[in-house]
Amino acid sequence: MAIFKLLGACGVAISGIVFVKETLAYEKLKISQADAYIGLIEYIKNQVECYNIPIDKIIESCDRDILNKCGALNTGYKTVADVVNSANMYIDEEIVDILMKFANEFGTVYRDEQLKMCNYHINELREYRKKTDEKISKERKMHFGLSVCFAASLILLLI
Amino acid sequence: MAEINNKLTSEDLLEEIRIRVNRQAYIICGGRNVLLNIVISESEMQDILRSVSRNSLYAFKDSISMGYITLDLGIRVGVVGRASTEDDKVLGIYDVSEMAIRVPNKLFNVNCDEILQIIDHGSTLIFAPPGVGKTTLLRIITQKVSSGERGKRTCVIDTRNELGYGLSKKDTLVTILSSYPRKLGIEIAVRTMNAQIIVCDEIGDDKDAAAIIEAQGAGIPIIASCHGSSIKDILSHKGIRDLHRAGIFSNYVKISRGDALDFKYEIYSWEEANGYI
Repeated sequence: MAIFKLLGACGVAISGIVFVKETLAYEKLKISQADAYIGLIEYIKNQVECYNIPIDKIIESCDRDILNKCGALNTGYKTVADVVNSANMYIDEEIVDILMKFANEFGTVYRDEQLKMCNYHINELREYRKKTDEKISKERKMHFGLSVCFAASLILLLI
Repeated sequence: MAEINNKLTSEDLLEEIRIRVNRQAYIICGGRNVLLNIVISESEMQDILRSVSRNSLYAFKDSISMGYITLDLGIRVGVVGRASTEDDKVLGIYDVSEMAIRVPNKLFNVNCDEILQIIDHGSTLIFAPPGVGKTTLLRIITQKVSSGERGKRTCVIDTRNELGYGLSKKDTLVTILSSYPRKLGIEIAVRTMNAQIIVCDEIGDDKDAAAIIEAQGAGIPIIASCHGSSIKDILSHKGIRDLHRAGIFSNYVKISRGDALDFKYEIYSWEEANGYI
């Protein structure tokens, strides 16, 4: 009988861990997408800084992998707004709003201002990435701890 | 567009569209200015500017500061507004208030054999008032001198990204130096590209004159254009006068447009032109 109780408690602990992993996988997608947008804006910034070429040419020459990770799976994008609008977003809404603002205002200012705008948004995304990373780490510890404690308590209660 | 079509008669040729913030737009056709019942707002002008700059205003800062943007088809759009300046240099144009969109027209009956003949005898300066078709004629001449069995290596110094449009055909010996400052472009054409003919548009200032004199020292004929309504008018510009005194141009060609949209030429030799100084 005791063996079944132990197995049941292990089952509770394992499902807790699986639940945590699944929840954290979504959070990791957010980080991966934030990284992709950081990469995209850095690429755009470098192209503007070094070659001063129009955005349609920049996006055309951008690594497909970065665009895919941004969630933009189609082809033929001409503007940053096209990329952001068509992407499947995992990142939080407040960051999507910031990205939309960047996308809509891109190309309306001269070079120096454009570069500053890129830097500002790269920093915003980095900040968001850092916060999300810290959140994941905290949640991982908390969920893991809770699952183990719950399983242990269950064993104690059932014995 | 429907209103523009209504205002045009069958014989009119649409030359330019002018759009203005909070003021009536107008078109230029057959030399006439025709007002339209179209008034655009500031935000609409911003949208148009964004569109003509391909959502990349930063990439056109230099040309906007010089008052224009060149579109893909070689169409020039004049842009004016409030200029931000420092030491007489325009840093950028803000609050764009007016745009002039030049409409390229197909020219019929373009016979430039006369000009092709005189080019064989030395450098040629083509002049006319704005809007007559100097750039179009230069393109046609470039196309002709650089193609065929006796085609020559022709370097086009396309400072405004306008002249080179349509010249990159497979069977021509044209080299296009896009967006190069004219002086540097001419130097490259002479020193590295070993050009047999150099073509450049809208010359006139002292720097141009110095670069052209240097190129001529290398014995390379130049076909150039400049603004001006008469030979006396063009020779009143210091740069052109310096070039004339240096004996750079063997011939000067004044162009005008006839009724059938063909070009009319008035050719002046160096000696004839000298009489107007």
